[in-house]
Amino acid sequence: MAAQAPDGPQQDTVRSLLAELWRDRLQPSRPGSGRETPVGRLIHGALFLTATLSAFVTIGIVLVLIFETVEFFREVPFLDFFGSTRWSALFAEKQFGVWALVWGTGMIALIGLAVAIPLGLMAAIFLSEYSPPRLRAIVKPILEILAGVPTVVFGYFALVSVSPVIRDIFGQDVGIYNALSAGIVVGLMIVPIIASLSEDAMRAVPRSLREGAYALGSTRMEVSLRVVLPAAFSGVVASIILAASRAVGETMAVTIAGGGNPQFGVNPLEAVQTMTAMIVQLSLGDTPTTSIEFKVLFAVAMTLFVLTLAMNIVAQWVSRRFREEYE
Amino acid sequence: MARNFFTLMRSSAPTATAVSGANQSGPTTTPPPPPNIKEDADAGVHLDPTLEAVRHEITEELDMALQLRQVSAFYGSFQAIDNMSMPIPRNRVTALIGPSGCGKSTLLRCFNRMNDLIPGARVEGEIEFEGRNLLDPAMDAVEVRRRIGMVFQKPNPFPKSIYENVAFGARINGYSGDMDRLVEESLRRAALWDEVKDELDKSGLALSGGQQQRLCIARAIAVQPEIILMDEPASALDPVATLKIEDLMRELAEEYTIVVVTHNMQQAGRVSDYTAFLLAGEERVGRLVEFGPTQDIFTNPLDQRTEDYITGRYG
Amino acid sequence: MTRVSVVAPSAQLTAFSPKVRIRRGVSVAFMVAALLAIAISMIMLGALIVEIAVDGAARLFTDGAPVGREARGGGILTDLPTPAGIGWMTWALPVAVLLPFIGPRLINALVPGLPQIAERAIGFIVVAPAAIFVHILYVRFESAYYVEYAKAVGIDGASGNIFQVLGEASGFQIVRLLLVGILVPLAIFAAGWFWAHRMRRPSLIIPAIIIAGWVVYLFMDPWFLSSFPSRKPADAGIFSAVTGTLYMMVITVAVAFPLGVGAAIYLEEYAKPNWFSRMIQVNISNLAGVPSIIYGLLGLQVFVRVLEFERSVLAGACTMALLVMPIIIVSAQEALRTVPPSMREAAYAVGATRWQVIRFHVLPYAFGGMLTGNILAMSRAIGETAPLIAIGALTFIAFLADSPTDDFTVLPIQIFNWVARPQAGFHEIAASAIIVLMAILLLMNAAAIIMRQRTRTDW
Repeated sequence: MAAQAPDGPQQDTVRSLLAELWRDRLQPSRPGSGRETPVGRLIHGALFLTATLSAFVTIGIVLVLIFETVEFFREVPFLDFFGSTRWSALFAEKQFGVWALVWGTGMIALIGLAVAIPLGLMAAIFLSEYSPPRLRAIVKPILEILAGVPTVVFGYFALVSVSPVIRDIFGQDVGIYNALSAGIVVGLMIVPIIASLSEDAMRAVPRSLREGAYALGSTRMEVSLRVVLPAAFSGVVASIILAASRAVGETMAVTIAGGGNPQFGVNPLEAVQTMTAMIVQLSLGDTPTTSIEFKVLFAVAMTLFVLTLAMNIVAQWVSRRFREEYE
Repeated sequence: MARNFFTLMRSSAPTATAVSGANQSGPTTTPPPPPNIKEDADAGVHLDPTLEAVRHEITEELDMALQLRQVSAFYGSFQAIDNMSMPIPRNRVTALIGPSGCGKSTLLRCFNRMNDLIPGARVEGEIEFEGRNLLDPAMDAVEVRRRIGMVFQKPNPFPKSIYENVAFGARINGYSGDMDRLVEESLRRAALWDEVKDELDKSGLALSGGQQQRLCIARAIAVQPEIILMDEPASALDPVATLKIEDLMRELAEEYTIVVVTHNMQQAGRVSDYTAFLLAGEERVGRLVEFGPTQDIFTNPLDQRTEDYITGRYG
Repeated sequence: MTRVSVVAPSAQLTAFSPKVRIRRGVSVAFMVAALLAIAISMIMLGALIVEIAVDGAARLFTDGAPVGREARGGGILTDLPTPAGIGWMTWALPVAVLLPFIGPRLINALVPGLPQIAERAIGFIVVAPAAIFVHILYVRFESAYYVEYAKAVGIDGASGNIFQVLGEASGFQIVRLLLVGILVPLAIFAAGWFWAHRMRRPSLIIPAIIIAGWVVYLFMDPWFLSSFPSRKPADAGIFSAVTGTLYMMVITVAVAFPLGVGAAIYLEEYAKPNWFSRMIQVNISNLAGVPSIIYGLLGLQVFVRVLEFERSVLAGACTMALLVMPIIIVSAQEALRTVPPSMREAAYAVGATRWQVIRFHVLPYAFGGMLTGNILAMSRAIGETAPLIAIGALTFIAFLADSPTDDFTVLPIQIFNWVARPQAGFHEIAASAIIVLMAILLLMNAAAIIMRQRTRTDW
């Protein structure tokens, strides 16, 4: 920097040396740009590109899905896809009623939520309202281990442990692949989501509210259920929707344990097929990229994508819209 | 016709019969002269003999709502207050004053066992309430809190409607009477009814700060406590709202025993009948310096430290 | 204003039901129910672990080569006589491993109240040589066996030189050398270091993991880790799956970490609060919620077909990188937000440029948190199966990938493949593979936890 001012007078005081050093820096810069060196600008640009990458990923997903989905609907009428409940993509006489798959997905997600909402909410209430801090410091990470177990492991557990128990209870004519066992492990998988996010929401409720309720002579349960839970309602609902979205997008456990039978029945003891399991089934076979089976893959994926995206957006909206502001 | 139904309910409480005639003077806005002051300081003092800080004018004839005996409080290994003994006179406003960190709030939270909720907190000693020690673990903290209500420093209405805020305590305590009337009466007592009667369904959080605090007072009196604890109830409010709260405290003192923590000495002087001055020593342990009728504490303190504080030398 | 009429006092008083006992009882019952909910979750987790341990242990811990298994590669290894002069090593190794942990604690117990500087000195003096010693000992151990092996199969001039061992060794030996010869000494060193810095918990966790790992290793069947998949459950192993997983993870980290951290830095340090950065932020949280299999389809179309990576390690790693990027971005953003504004201001106040502030003040502060997030993202990627199935990773790979463009398989896919087969024998080895997968995950999470504690202690 000092070299850029070669004809500066020879000064021996520190002050004038510094003045020389800084003189060229005191140029007026573009308003708002701060003082960025060329290297700084280069880095700024590179970082900007990495940030925009995520937008391109979304665009890529949407384009990829739309492209093949449009191809699919060129060959199969719209109503055959959305207006039917029969699915037989791999048979000679092909039927593409996506409702069979959506129903299978929904059934497993509902079973999962029926397991996870009571367990997760109660766990959250215990951790947030009852547990001494030391116990919480132990229990919460253990609970979060459940969230870290790979889904393929849950699939194994459903098939090898849960299914036999269900057969013991409901009789041996129940198939080893059934929606119930898949739903139960999916529920187990999403317990930590509900527990952890709900607990966060409950702990964000200001302590003054709890104290206000205690000062009126409330028991812990009354404080938990009548003050804290309603105050944390938006966070709790958002956690449940996020958990549901995770259950809908869950793939391996339902592929392994749910069976591969796309159907529109209400019996949870029968095998079903979810959208995700169908995608896996079609991917495992060597499907030619020009075939209708390959294209329907993307049509189903599009349905799945829209469904989970909608759930995530609703969850975000709920947590923003119904949040109580305490300040 | 009785003044209102709170008065009736309270007068049926067994301990309320001990109120002496001087206590039943009509509603006044100025502090009534401290009753039952005996000239002879040694006659019938029923306070703890170790307690020198309490003015000896207060005698057994004064009806006590609470009686503290050697109360100490700890947070973990830190001692917050040490060996405090004093009376809380019934149907009077008692102010706890003192500089920051002297244990005023801690002491207040001992009165209704709020310290139970803080992990690691521990209270020793004895607080007599209707002939029983309310610090006794066998005493039900939930019931204690129902009978000794609390209003907090920052208004903390529940994120519910105004109506539900007031009705909450009665609901959980199994109140089976006319809820609408209870809500209305409580809001009237808290001098809030006229402002909110048309919008009882509005969220409690939508009110102004002063209104929120009066809502919290209404919420506290809706469970019909005998004592109301107020932890700097006006510190977060503007002067006009503060004035309203102070007027309210004077009015409520007709029927309730009020203990108020305040930073503001003018406020203590305006609203309280009795004053306790607390001070923390070098090791930050709060101790009671002096307790007595507010007038005396302010005009004729016995302790030099009290005088220093009153005259603003502690800041 | 009309006054409300007043009910008789007694009626008012009884309006409050004095049922505090009952209410307290209900409250306690509710607590028990809540505890039960946690207990059920934990019991299910426990059942899962026990089930897998029981099913998988049989294959993983068979003693030596089972009778009737065909020998391949270094198959005669187990028939070798114990090389002369290494018997003591089997005992010396565990002792050397334990020494750094017991030693300082012993000193601590015997001479309480040592100053911290002395503790640190002892920690380093004891630990650093012990780590090196363990490494040397282990390499000699392996070399001695190799000489015997070379004799038995007729390789000339086997001296037991470590490079020769590496050149000739079977896959199993390489894995063992990597795991035991390098990772264990490193872990010992880390543990001693934590201990010296008075971080007692990590210094306890690490030896516990090492000792457990050691015990497990002593009993483990070397065949399972070092064999390729097979049509017969008894012959099948996870060599290609483990190496494939490691290979893919390295590339995934290399791709995802810089991109994710870069995006986080941009969003936290550069972006102005306008519609664009809000859009990116919302987009990232939405991407985190997209089902993983959809990333697989994206990878299939973009990496496999358009960019023509084929079904290679590279395609899989790129897909995984996109999948975990939202996690990395969000955790890196959180780490950056923990940097106190005063620190930035102080740096700006002495005339630093924005990049200098970030490079020399913000990044060093937040780096621990970023690494933690990265490890958590990696542990997510290691367990993911669906996207790799969608891009068509194969399940039967009987060779090791040489370059990023080779076909590959990973552990979860191998597990899925075995679980999906009807034979019980494959279910068993699936459980064995799950144990290996979970062990890797456990190690990664332990590392993340320790790292989190470390960053907390420093500031």
